[in-house]
Amino acid sequence: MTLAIPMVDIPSGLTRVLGSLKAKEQPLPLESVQLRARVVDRVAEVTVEQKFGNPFREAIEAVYVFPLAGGSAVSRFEMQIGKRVVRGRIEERAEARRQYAQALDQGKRAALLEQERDDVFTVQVGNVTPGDAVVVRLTYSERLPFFEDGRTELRLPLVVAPRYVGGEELPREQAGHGVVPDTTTVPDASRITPPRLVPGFDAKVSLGVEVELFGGFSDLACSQHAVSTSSGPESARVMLSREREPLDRDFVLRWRIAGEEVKSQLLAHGGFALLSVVPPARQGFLGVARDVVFVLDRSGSMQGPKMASAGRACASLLRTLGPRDRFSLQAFDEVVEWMPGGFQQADEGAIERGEKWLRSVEARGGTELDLAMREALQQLRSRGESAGRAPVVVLLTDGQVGDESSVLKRLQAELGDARVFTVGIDTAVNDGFLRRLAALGGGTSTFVEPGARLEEALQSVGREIGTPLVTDLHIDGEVTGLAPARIPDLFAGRAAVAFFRLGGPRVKITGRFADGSQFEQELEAREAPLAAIDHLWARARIVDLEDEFRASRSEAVKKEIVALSIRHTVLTRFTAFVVVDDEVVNQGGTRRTVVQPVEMPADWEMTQVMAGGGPAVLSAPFARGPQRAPLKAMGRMPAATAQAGAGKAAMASVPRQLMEKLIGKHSLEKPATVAERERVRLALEAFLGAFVAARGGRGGAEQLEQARIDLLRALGESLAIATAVPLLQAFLRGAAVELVAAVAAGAADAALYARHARLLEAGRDQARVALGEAGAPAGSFWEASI
Amino acid sequence: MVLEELSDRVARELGERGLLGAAADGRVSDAPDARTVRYYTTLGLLDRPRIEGRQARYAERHLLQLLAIKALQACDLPLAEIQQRLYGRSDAELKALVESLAAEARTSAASAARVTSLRLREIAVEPGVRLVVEEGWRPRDPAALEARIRAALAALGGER
Repeated sequence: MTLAIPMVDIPSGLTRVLGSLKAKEQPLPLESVQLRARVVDRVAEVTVEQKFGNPFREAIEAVYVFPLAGGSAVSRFEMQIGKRVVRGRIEERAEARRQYAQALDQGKRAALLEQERDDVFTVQVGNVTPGDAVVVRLTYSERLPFFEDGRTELRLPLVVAPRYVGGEELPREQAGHGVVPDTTTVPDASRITPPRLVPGFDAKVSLGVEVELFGGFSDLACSQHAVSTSSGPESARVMLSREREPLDRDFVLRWRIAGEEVKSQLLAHGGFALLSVVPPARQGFLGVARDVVFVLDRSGSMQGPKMASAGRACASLLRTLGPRDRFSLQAFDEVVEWMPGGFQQADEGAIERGEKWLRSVEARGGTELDLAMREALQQLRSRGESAGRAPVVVLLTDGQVGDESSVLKRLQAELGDARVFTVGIDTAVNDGFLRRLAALGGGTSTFVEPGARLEEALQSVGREIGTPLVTDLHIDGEVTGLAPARIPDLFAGRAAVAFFRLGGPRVKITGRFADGSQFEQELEAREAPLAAIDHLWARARIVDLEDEFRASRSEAVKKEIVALSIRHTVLTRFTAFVVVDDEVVNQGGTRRTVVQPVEMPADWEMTQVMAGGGPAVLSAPFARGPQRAPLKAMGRMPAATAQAGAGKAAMASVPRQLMEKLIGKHSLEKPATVAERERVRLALEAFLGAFVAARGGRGGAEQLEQARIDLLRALGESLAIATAVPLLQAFLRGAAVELVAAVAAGAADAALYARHARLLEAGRDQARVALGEAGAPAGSFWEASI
Repeated sequence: MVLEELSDRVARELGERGLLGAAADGRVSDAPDARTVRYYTTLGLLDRPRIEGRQARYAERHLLQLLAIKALQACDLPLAEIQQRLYGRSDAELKALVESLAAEARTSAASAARVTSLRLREIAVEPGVRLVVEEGWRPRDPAALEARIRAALAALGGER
């Protein structure tokens, strides 16, 4: 059949609305974003300038959630009004927030800069009066990754992509201004989920990017933007060719450092040093045999070209395996699916079956990365006959999750001797998280854009997966404050980096090759104009401390982070930059908050907007049935899958619906009294205390059993609370009984406690939500994001 | 109010203002459902509801925001343009917008009734033969339809 032609089509209402004065287009607060980067000695110093106006009729507070490169050390923040520049101070986060709020109430212009994730930041600019313009400017530095062949890249992210948020909504005031409510698994979801522009809405933000490279270079390429380049003998300047580009993808510039082969180097400035170690070229090096688990993200956000690219990337990595290796394949969204057959010898037949399986993977659903990693690590642990093969996980994803912290925490606890490698695939990838995941997992991370050059970009990844060239690196010399505290292992062709305070002129690096022989390099320090080096050192040290904090939640570690942050002026999640102008411009401080809506990342399929603006069909995870209360803005899924998914979800939610019918409604009618809540709270605390005492060998089975009975009784007196805490109930009636028996028999070991602690924590968290004790957002929400 | 109540209020107030089902083909759904409401929230067109217990609670501002969205949809504006017009508006502005659209809808109701737009879809079956159907048409009895088309073609062919 051919073509359908609308014969008569009179949009009767359009002219009427356009004629209406009240329905003029409303400009947005963010007017322009200018980025200027200078790259010297493989360190980039970047200045980001954001200009906010007020196109509204009353004073506003503009809020903008934006990304910066994942490993960046933000060291300066200022506000400019006309020609006047006011420099920001770094303070403990709660204090900075207090100063900012106070200045706003006093009618003064003020700005606040906070860090939400390694790569997500929020800026708030308050008391911008109608017609006014306020510029905020921040500066950060970043150490660029580079390879022995001189390849390096600078990534300037421009949009925070939608992140998957699981868990139950928290019944408390929201921590931020975003569109997804805070949940049990992402308690600060509202801080990382800015509203989205509908495709077709030109936000009219003028974007400028200018990069200056110093030193020789070649093969300059910008993969996602058109640029113009002007170069002198020792430097080059790269600028965007087009004036109005949407902020919907990372600006990625790659080049090769020209001249002789890139070698290890030791750069020093002001008592700090930056060490880059490049391993020697491998000579007949054969890595150990590997057991590789490929974990492929098939969530809704991968919909479109990304999914196809991820499948291709996985297939091309599969092809790099040798006949001694084994592999298994996993694809995950809200559920984890394995290629049947467990670990398979990587022969031609198995690889072909793997490729075929990969082609069948379609994007859909949520991103339960924590679940996927748990299963992958379990799969490696449960190998019966590992025969000395190195356990490896390769994760292919866009990394767009909100609960990074839980994934990192799991890795810290359950990694064992496995290594984790990450391959980030997106136009706007969550690079900070994927880098950190790989660093914790003793592997490497690589970023590729979906598209034709994918295989080429992955060439080097295959050979390094699972097989470090040099391990157990150690530095001799007058070295203190080494960060990271454990120098990363060396992979073929890739530089490993460490920062430290250096007393003498040289250091000696030693390590062990895979075959057991000794690795040794001596390096002379070279003085370099690296003003940012103390910021970078502090940032690297803070990353170590954050890992420690995640595991221990220790107050002492927190204090150390705050102290480092303030002493070296580096932004962290425990601190914030605040800047206040003394002029009173908005007497009374009455204002509205307007959150800048941001673009959907390029190549993401947000939603299908029906012709003429009817009710939009919602993105995939929305369509997952009634039990999916929190909002998960993600990609669209094909209609057929959507229906199947909804059917499955409906089935799964039957018991829940029944329960709500039988009990839930009742509990809503009769909420728990204050006395009931208090009783449950005390009983819960007593039980947690008894558990900790038993675990520490200080309490017996009797105390634990008594606490268990008391808590069950307290719950029994309040139907409303009891029905809201199924996890806790299940724990008390199941696992806890087993635990008491084990304690009584003297058979409770550390592993048993560890297993029960996780169950108990889940139950406790649920109970705290039910008791309305999820905590006020102020003062604590950022701790959960580490 | 909870979502159902909000949804009812929107439908009722649209009706009272003569803004209900203003588009000829009924593309404006009167009562927004949960999904639609969540989608508008991700666009920042609708403020996030307050969470009480396990329920989302909506207030007067949410009502105003939805009324404004629906009123503009009734004017055939695509969502991008609706967002462009409503984003960040104050309650007063939203109220004024809804009332002015309602006023226009009332004054033009009589004349608008006369202007009906007819949408037709057309397919060239082969050179010289075209099939035209009204939008919204659905086949009922395929056998009878086929018979009628045959008869029509025979009648047209018989003229030659």
